[in-house]
Amino acid sequence: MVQLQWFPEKVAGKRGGYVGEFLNKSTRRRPDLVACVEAFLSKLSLMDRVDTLFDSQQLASLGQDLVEMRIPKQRQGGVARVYFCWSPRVKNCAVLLAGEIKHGKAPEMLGVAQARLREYQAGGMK
Amino acid sequence: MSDEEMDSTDRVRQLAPLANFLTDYEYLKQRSGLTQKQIAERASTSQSAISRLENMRGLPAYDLLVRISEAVGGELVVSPMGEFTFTLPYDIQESAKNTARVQGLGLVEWMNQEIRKGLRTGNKVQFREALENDTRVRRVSGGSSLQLAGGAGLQLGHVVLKFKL
Repeated sequence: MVQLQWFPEKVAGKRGGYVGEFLNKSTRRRPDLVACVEAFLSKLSLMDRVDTLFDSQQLASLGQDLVEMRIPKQRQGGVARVYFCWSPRVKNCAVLLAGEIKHGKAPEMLGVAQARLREYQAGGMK
Repeated sequence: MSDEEMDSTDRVRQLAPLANFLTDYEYLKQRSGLTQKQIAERASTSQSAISRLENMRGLPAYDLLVRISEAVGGELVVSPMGEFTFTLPYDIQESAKNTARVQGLGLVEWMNQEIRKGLRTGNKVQFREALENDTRVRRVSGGSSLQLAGGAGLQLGHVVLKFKL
């Protein structure tokens, strides 16, 4: 099953890290999207193979090891995006790097996610 | 946690069933390749009603949820049983259904059968471990012992019953 590592936490475990902070901050303004992110993460964590989520476009590869959770793919009032990479050390472990509520077409946190990915890779991917 | 934060957390909890529904709906919708308009037609409703639901604006009517579940190829299940109402993870739905079919069972019957099998095995293992780890049994192992069929033992006073699990 998919384990969730809430970067910069070093091991998979309870909600925390940057994405945990993003969810906590967004709870007041967008409880609807936070509930959707929680539902999605809960379903993801029960899966062994996630290819069906790529088929349904709820996951999308952004290149350079970065993957995007689209929660949902499209919605008038904004969507949630969680950026992550797969741990090369722990099988089926998603390292959650950044999250955002996206309103326009351009993602605002993608650059931050890429920087955190480099930080994670530079830190020995722990 | 402030009252405001508490209210927001409660709101997230209240919205959880709808968010869960929408996550599954989104999965079925994307896999079926249906557009909002097509779903609206199949569900005999307006596209704006679908849009309102997808945007979590207001609380959807029960009959709308029934119709749009069917429109995307699913079926609505409503239950107050919480975590006991379990949705099979997406990645094993098809293989579970096929396995059940091969055994001549419906999916729910097959899952029930497999869970019961798992529980029986789990209970046996737990019981065996508990007995094997019971130091009291080891302490009196020099005392009188009634062996029924080999395997693990159970202490009754100074008598150790042994039986096969």
